[in-house]
Amino acid sequence: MAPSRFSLLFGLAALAIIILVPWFLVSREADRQGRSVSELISMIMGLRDDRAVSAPVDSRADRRFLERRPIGRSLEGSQPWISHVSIVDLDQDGFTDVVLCDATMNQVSWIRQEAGGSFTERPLGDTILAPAHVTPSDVDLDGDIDLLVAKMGAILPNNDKIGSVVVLENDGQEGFTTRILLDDLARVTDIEPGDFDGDGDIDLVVGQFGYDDGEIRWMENLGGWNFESHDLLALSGTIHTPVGDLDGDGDLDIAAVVSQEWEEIYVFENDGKGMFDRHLVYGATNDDFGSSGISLVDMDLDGDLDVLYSNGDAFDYIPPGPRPWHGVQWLENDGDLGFTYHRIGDFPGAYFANAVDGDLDGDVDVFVVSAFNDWDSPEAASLAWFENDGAMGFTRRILATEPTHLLALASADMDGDGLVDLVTGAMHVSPPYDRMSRVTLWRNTWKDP
Amino acid sequence: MGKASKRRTHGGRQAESAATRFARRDARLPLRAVLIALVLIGMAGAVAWFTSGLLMRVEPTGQPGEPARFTKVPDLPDTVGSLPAFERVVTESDRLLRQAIRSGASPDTIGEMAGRLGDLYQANTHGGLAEACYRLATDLTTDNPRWPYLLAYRLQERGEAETVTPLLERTVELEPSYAPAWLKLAENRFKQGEFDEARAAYERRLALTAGDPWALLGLARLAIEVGEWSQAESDLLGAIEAAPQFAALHRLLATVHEHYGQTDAGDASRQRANELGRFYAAPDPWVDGLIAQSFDVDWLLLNVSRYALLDPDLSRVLFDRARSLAPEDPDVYVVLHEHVETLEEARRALETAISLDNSHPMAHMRLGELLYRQGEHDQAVELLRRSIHLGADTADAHRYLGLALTALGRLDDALAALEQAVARAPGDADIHYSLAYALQRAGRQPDSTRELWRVLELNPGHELAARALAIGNSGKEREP
Repeated sequence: MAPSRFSLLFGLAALAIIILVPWFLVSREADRQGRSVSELISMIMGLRDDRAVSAPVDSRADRRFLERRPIGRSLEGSQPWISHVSIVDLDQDGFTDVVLCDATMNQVSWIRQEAGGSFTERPLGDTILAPAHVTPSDVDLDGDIDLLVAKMGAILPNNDKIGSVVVLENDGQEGFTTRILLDDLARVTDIEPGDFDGDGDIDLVVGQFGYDDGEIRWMENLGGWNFESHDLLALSGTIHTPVGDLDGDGDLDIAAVVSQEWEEIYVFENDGKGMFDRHLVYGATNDDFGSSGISLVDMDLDGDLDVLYSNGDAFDYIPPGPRPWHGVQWLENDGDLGFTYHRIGDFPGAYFANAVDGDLDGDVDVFVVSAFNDWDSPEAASLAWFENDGAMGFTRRILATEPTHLLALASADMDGDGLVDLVTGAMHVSPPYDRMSRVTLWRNTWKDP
Repeated sequence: MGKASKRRTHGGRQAESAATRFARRDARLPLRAVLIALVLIGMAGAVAWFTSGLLMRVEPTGQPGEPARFTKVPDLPDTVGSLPAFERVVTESDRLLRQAIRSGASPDTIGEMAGRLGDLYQANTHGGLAEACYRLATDLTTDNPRWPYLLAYRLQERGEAETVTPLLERTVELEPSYAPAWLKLAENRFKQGEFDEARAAYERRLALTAGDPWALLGLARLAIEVGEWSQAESDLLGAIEAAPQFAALHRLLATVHEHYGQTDAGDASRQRANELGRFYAAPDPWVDGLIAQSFDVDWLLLNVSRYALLDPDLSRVLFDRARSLAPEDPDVYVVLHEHVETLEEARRALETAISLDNSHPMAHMRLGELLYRQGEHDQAVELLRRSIHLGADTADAHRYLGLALTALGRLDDALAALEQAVARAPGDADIHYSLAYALQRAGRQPDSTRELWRVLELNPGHELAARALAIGNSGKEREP
């Protein structure tokens, strides 16, 4: 039976409605969302989802899982300038100790842990003006742990050649003799050990911040405490020069962060015989970025060394204060000395970061201290951790707002409970002085929720 | 009625029936049409409802029914602690932007408004919010180079590099005459190891600003990076001719001299660099001008110091803005005292700070130090004691208190104050020298000598201490 005219008209109208109404609505919505119609249809069909994703923010339910206690000497009326802390079992008695640079007292000190978790501090070696960095290393290969000390000469800006490369040589009974390997240098900020030329002894890499004039050099161990110096770079502002096999070829390369107006990271690629090729692997074009520290760690657990990198230095203007761009990032090692920048998060005054699995969930979290936050605000954080979600997504969680001015950070299992604890050092270069500390042990008490 | 009649009647009935039917049909036609229309409308409604249901699944997060561009506009920041003026301005700008989106304004209009809101955020240290606004502005406007540039600037502030390159390229495509963008692009390329592209960008910058020291410095660094030391040397010598006052050029030239083993020439270049002062960044009007929109007094004051060398005029503008925004903020005057030319002006600034906040520790301390230098020792002692009481418990406060007391001859008090200073900064050679001086004034010669030796231990180049020891501590040391 032939359809009536009405039926035909009805059918056509219905078809038009079925097609045109959705088309009109989808078109209007697409325009409203600033998308194409096909994009929107794809999204309706579940083929695409690119709606806005919120950035991670501070947790509302902070977990304060660190118990803090001061260790070592008390404040004794001073305004401490602890420029570095390092964790090591210095006397190899099975208890983990802390060595530190005290730029107020101009000394390297040893905070020795005894049975029962008590700590006592004693100075090591002679006066060393403005010690900036101490690295434990058996540099003379005699079986005990010596200390490599970077002497700045002055913590605050200075162009004079007042730095030194110092070794505190251990006599095996924790008596230390001061040896100056190199003197009259632009301010020295880091010394790291490594056998760079494959001859079986310990050579050194030396970072010199200077002020306007700085350098990086490696010192070839010739034996008998004689070293020959080889220049690697002549730029001001070197802070850290960590050592590791960055290209996976079996020898030790050198990384370096150069701050001041450069804000760059270099890798010195070793040929295994102490010949280095220089590679500029990263640079910020913000000349006030405030590079403050790097360490080498396998952040993504893929078997190679990445660079963990903090920027929060603010020594340059008085009074020192935070910048909106201060924070933490990591440079992913892509192989062939190529690195990709990943921001971990913002943290005002971020001075140094440690990558450790703080919550024992199998991924690498990041703990970071702040030396230059807005301390007039009671909410300004001095210690935070960026919790890794397992896919290298990080959420910042505040751990402490006092003590303030935390500049140095080290991490290790101090009490043998299987959890990584933290040790911090404070540098009180500016007011307020109402929440001071010197060296603090932050015992990890993590329990899975 | 007869058959005919019947027939007629029948015919009449037929005629009547057809007419009636027609009439009835005429009557039913609108009814049916109405029914059909109702069915179609119902169907349209059902289809619309069903479609809307599907569309709900892709509704972006945000207020229901609001346009998706809303999701790209960041929420207003927490303005607790901000000046009310900032809260007013930012709330109004945000409202106008959302209104423009809601009313279906053109993408260019929305983009411009988003960009200006981004400026406001950027100027007030809300970088994350600025970034979101600049993204929206960059997406929606096609011909304004400021938005991709400022988005690039915001990203590079946080250390990003790769994502910055295309934004800078878009900027210079839109505004090839903006020299700061070429410099930023060149540096970004250089730091990613893209040396050829970096060189081209530096050269574009140079073409726009002949003799530009930053571009010349960059080209010399490039030459060094690729091992062309002689090229670097000739670049630097030419650059120094064009910009002899730019210290960084002399400093890099010193490196080149040292590479060639020319120690004396290296030392001379380095000395010249030190005479000329520190590195400073190139001016960037699109960015530098933003800070003048800031309502954040602390940020303005920090940038007063930052721009003091780079752009003294801007530094003054920032200071004036800080003062106009917070005329009763004592910190404004504490900063002012660091930038005025005479001690009298500095004194007035600090006195103003204290008149605004009689419990400001740093203002008391700075004024106490200044009065000590001006020889008004009684007042200095009073101010320094008060500053310590208020919380400026610094080594410097105790030191100047000790020096002022020494000048007044109150030597026991002076020594106590200087001991406090030493306790707070035992490694500070100048403080030990002040103590040595006070000990000598107190007639404690051996103690003074011991302190002088301590000074030299801490700073072997301390000339005053060396001289004092050389003349045998005969009471002729220079006053610290």
